[in-house]
Amino acid sequence: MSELRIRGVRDLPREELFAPGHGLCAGCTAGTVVRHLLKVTGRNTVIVNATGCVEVSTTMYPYTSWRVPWIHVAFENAAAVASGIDAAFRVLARKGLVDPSREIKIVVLAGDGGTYDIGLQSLSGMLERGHKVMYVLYDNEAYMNTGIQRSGSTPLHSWTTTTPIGKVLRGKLQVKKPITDIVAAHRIPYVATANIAYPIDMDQKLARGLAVDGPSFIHILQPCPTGWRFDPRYGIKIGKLAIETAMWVNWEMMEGDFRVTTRVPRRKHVKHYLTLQGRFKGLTEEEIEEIQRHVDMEVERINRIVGEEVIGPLVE
Amino acid sequence: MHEVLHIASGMRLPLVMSVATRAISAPINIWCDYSDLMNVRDSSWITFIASTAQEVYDTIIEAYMVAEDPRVLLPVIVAYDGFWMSHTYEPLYVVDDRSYVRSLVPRRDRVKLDPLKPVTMGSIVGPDWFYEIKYQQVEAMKEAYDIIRDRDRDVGKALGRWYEPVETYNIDDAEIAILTYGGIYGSLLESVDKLRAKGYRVGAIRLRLWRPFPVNELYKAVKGLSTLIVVDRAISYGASVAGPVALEVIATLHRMGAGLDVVNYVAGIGGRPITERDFEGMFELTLKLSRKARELGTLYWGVRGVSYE
Repeated sequence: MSELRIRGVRDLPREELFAPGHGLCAGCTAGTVVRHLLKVTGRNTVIVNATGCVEVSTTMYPYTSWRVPWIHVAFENAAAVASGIDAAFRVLARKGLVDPSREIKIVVLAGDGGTYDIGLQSLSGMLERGHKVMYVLYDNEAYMNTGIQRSGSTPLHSWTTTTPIGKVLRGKLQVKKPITDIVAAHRIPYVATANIAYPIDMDQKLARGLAVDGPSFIHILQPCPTGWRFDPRYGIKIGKLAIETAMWVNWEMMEGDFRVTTRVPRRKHVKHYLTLQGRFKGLTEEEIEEIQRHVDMEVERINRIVGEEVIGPLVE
Repeated sequence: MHEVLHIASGMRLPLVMSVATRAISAPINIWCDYSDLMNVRDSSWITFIASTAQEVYDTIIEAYMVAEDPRVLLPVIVAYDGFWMSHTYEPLYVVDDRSYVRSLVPRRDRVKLDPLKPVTMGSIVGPDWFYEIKYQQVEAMKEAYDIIRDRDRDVGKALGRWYEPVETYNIDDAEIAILTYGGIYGSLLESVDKLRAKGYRVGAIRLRLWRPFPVNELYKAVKGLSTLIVVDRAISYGASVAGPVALEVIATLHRMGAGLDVVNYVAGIGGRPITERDFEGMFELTLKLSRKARELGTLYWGVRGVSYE
């Protein structure tokens, strides 16, 4: 499959395949992810949605926001459903019931709950079997749809309704599960992380993911005004700060070749990222420094893999 | 996998699944009973229970004919005894010409995931529509019954083997009958012969179709009996009558106004063998206990440390 070339927003088609009128929260950046995703995939696509925010907010019967075929089965099995669709298309093509030259793209769209926790085994199976499916993870770092419960993706010391910040608990006790590393360990052709605040980088990665022959995985940080407790206008700003503080690193791995796609010459302290969000309110200086130490270690690890300082020193 | 069974029927997907029935953990057990099948009773799958390998084969063909009928569009389970039937040998007639089997199940056009005609499948449905959508399954299940009867005849004509939702043996002059399902029906027939030789007027009934439940066929089969013994192979814990099939049979017969005693045995749990001798034993105990057998609700046959005498 040839790759769509995207150097700027003007390279994206004007056609909107994600209809307005959905029920996502004001300022929700998941809608932005979907809008961009469908611009990159085009019409010739089947979307498999795991249970989650996007699923419940875009398909309230008798309405739908989807101008492409869309299916939801359950929380845990989006990757298994996509595997089945991939296999079914192959069989139908072999039987002459579907024109094989149509090259229908199969895309899974799932949140962090449906990926890190509930859907992990179906995802791993799909990757291992090598289905030609692009898996897009929109990561808002908790079960936002059901009322902000912690997930395997929730970062250290983050408040959720099940990990309060108080005298007994200090937010989530564990660090965020490195899901993209786990996926990359399956040795699939293409893995990338992206951030909604860097849409061209994100769209390029979506296009690359679609073009490879085999499974691909795009992990997108998706700031959530409702769960992260910030003013709806700050979604993109917070996405930018995630990169600038290296709380989030945009990278890709094509056939094992690791590359950081958004370099950060001078890094900001994590407090710039944390203080804009109510979910980190009430943390002590020490706890913030603990988060900073984890980020420092991760930056060191990434720079070591790349072999140069792609993420720079802490300056402010 | 319980959840996806409801999703398959709710999405009206005409799947066919053969189920080698098995006990459910804990303790872990890989032998036969019908706990798994009875657990999915309310998942809106049409459910056949076969009693021979040949019937499994024939019913799977029939199942596609039923499931894919546009008036039905419900998934179908073809169940049979795990281990007893799934891991043992039986002679089997297989249709040589696969195109003949295919000709029995016409290819039909249906809604699919096609970018040229986009549809949204499996959307979220609130209280204002959910009930109507689920009621369509009620109607489809009802509709399926007559269609299954027609397909029974089609399969008979095509394959030369004839099946009924409720099968009977020596029932015409019987006073007492034993009803069961699955592979142990063969043993039941043997024990009926032996009991007949001893002078008892006894017959056998086999339930082949579990969902939709064959109300009229069952009523017809039991008319004239004084007592019906239902041998169940699963336990509904804490139920008024613990055998799921017995519970259904009692409800049906009450609804139809059939005044006969129904005695329920649970047997064969976790792969405990049920032989001819067991059926004879259950029959004799029923005679001995008389009215008390019915009042007990359920008798757990063959479990150590339990006696009803």
